[in-house]
Amino acid sequence: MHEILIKNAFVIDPIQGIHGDIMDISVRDGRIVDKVSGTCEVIDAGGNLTLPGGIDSHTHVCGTKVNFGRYMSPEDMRAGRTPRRGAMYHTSGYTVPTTYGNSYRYSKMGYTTLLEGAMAPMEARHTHEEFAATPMQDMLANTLFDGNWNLFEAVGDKDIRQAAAVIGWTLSAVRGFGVKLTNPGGTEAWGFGDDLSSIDETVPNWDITPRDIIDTSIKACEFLHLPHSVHLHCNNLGMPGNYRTTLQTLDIPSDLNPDRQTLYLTHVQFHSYGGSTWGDISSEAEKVASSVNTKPQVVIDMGQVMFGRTMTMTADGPMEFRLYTLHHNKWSNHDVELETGSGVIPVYYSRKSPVNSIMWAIGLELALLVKNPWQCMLTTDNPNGAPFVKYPEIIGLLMSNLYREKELDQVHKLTTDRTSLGTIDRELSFEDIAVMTRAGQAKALGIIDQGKGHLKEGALADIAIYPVKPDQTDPSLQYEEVIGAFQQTLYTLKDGFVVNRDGEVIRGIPNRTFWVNANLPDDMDVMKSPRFVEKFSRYYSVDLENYMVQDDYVERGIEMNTHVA
Amino acid sequence: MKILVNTGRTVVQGSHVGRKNSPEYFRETSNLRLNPVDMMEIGVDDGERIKATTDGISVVLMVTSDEMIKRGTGFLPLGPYANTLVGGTTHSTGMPDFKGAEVNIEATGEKISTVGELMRHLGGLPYGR
Amino acid sequence: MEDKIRHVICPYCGCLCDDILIEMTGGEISGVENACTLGARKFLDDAGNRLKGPIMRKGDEWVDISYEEAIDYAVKVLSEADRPLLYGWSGCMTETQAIGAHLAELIGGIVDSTTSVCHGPSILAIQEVGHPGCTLGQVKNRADTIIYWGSNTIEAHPRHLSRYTNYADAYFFHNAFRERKVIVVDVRKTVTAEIATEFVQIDQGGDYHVLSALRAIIRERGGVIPDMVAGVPKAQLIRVAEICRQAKFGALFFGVGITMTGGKYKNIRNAIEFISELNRYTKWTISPMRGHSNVYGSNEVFTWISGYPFAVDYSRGIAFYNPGETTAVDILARKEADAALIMSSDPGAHFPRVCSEHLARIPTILFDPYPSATTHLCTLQIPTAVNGIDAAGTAYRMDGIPIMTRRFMETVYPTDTKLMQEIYDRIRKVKEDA
Repeated sequence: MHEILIKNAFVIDPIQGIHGDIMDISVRDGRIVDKVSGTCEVIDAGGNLTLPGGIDSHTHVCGTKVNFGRYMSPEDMRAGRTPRRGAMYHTSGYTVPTTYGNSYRYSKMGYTTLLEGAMAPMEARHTHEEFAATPMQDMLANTLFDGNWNLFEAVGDKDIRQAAAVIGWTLSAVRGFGVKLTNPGGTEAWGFGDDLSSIDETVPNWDITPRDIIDTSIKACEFLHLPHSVHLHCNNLGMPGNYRTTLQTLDIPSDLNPDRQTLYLTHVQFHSYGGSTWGDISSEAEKVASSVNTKPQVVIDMGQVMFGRTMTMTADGPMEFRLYTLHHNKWSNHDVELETGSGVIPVYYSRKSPVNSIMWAIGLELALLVKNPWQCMLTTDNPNGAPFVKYPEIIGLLMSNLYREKELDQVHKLTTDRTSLGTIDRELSFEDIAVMTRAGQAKALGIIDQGKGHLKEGALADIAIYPVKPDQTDPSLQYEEVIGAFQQTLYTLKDGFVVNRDGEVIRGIPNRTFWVNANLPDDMDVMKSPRFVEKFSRYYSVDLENYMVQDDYVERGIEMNTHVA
Repeated sequence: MKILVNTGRTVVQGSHVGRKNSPEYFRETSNLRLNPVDMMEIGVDDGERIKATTDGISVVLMVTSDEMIKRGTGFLPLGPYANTLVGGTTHSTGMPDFKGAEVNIEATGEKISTVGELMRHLGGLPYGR
Repeated sequence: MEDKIRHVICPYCGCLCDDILIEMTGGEISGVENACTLGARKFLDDAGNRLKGPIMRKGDEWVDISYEEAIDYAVKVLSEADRPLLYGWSGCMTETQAIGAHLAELIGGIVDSTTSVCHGPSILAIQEVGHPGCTLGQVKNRADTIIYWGSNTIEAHPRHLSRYTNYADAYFFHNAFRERKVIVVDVRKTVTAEIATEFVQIDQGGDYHVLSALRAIIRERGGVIPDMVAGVPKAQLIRVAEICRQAKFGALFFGVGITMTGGKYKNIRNAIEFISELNRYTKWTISPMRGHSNVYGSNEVFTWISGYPFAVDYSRGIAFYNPGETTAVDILARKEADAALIMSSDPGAHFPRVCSEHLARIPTILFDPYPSATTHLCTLQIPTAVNGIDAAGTAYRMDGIPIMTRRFMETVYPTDTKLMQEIYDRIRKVKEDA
């Protein structure tokens, strides 16, 4: 039996409705309990901010394209190196650190759960292998369906049940968690070097549109009762004027799920651009945020850009090619047969660039203009907008108008004309931040019942204690202290053990992988469909029998069983 | 005669990488393919031997004529014989000059070393056969 | 007693064909279907060819020793070494490769895979200009134009053409074989060249020039090109460039024919930039023809652990990477290594002589099920179960597709994963006790 008592904690737990009470937290054998024996280990939180472990609902940390970002970038590996020390292996990398680098740095910031934003089903084993080497966090994998031919057929047939059959089978087969659509239809078009520019454009060689793919996937997702909603990277990422596509997309879903959103739109900053060229690009964050404000069925994440060097990586292959033709830097691309695409290029976001400055402002506008923090998660689309180690600075910017004004002074002057950032004086509270960095994620991902994102009795004892006393701190003025506090916890606990103390990893705990086993009735089993099996063997380059991910890859898997309506 | 020696995989070589001490592997990897005109010039026939020398290092090989080989070049399947002729310089890339070694060839009556004997010359101790 | 095992993964080359059918009779492999000659020999030649147990060189004699003694020796040598080289890995599964990387970290050694003498230069080029690639099924379903450059595919990757390119079923063609064009570029008229719609024979070492000329033509600067470039007539270059531009989906595969010749990674860089430029007009991808079954896995594993795909030096605690300095051939040619662990590879057969000489001089521990050229050079050889036959694990195909190989035979041999883990744990204990 292993027990810990955390005394004197300033707890904010939005899911439980605890808004900043000084209280004790009892932990036994990895779970939050009512009370512990008098002899157990005691941690004095000293009135410091104590939150459930952080959850990142959209990050790129493991898998084929993340590793390609490392593989092609020795210069980035040199930019962040630590030797083996204590319980820690060595690390390398700054924008795309090694798996241990990611894991230790997230842990130091109090994060205990990460959702890898994009896993190609065919390359799932790779993601799971890297999950096993990311020891300080529990992991989930959003699974890519944007160019999935089997799904396309179901969409073409307007057959939601069949679409659900394909999605359900695939998630179970690859030990995936949620449905990710990246530039739906566009990644398939990129197979022959094309892209789509509207959600109503027909996908080449397929009689369907992105709207059809999104709509059918949403309905199939709800039909399957998946914990998470469809997780969408809209078409037209990064294009001036793309806010129209985003608004049209926001209008697709009706409210189909009482427990969570029906559609999760990721890195919306990259999708809120006005204007028509790079010359006249402007922010349309107000329109996008207004739309979100009227749609409780939608949750977004920011995709904040922060200045400096980073690596872009996405399944959106055609977008990366466009970016390459702008930057003329190295360009990698990796299309995955019958499923999706991907691309990787390094970028540098400069505060002297009007475009980059406007991007920076749009992310902040979104977070400040979306009224309900449960509808806007704090992300950088790590590492696309910036490496996740920048999160604390973003928190500072959202909590302090003064800091924002100072920063706004440093960026390109056009930012003031082309965005509304300078006119917003909202300052987010510690509770808003707690929602946007853990509670909101737990709800959006549907993992509250798995004991994530809160400190209710029975919850997983994932806890972050930050060196800041909210009742004695004015973030508006003391933003530097707030930033410092979020950069390094006093203690990070995972599964009831102190895993990180003052930035040093104390110990690792075997991590978990949450995956969905969508139980389907016999008549929905695609493996019994001769058409499915025949097409698979003709057009995939691996045998069906070697495609499905073996249990060896999810030794510590948490199987989330779902059942169709 | 000076020639440029190219190396590469062949089906026979590749089929015997698990049996590097077999007669098949020995015959294949010590077999230099030359243009027949070049062979006439140095006075060797198919199945006869030459001594290949570069940088003061020599190795004895069997020759076979092959019309596909351009004059002034030779093809030797990859393996320990080919690598006897390769130096350790990598031009700061990690990759030695495996292909395109400049080699002097002349007819010889000397015997071809087995793989084990080649390794003995390098300081090893032949195991088994 | 006969058994048929289907969907077996061939552990020979980077194609990782996963449709092999194995027939077993009396516990031994008696038949192989679907495999190429290379793969079939790998399976069929297994029986009776393995070392019975560890062997150790003692003076002028080889003696049989136990696994315990072998592990004791390995632990002693590796924990006492100042500059150990841990080399090979491409025949190991990723599970073993990961332990290898951590072992190098633990003992301050250098970990390098056979990459450095096959597609190391390709990686150096990718680190300069990136890599527009794709999975092999993308080529199979879409490509109307295929280039093999410096790759004698029919002899080195015999089923590549039938599974993934020219002869494979394609979703977007009725009769793919008739509709596809194959261009072969080589210095020799290889058997692969014989099936080409267009064979471009270039002078040895002329790759860089020919690629530059093609790029110039694509950029409409063909006027600067002389009548003949490295043995290739200008008219043919113009014809080839036009085929490339007209393609709807083109795929260039390159072999060690251009990584090993003069120019090395600069050749590959030029090839990648040629493909990147073609993407401004149409769709093209480029991919290295990786040799060993899991050489790509070693690059992936070393990258997610250390940040670098090969040639990682831990002598200063952090991961340090500088190919040309920290690559196996250089470390050995400079006589720097004072101990070597060779994992399922054969530097005796494939390294320059000076490297082999050095291996014979230092304690060299070889993990290999079979006697090889390196056997004669090493101090200790430890046979293990064979990955893909009586051991299973993850391997990455040449295009990055991870597959779990199958174990279909009972074994008395320990796996290399188990032995490496034991060595790692014991050395860790030695270090902690010190």
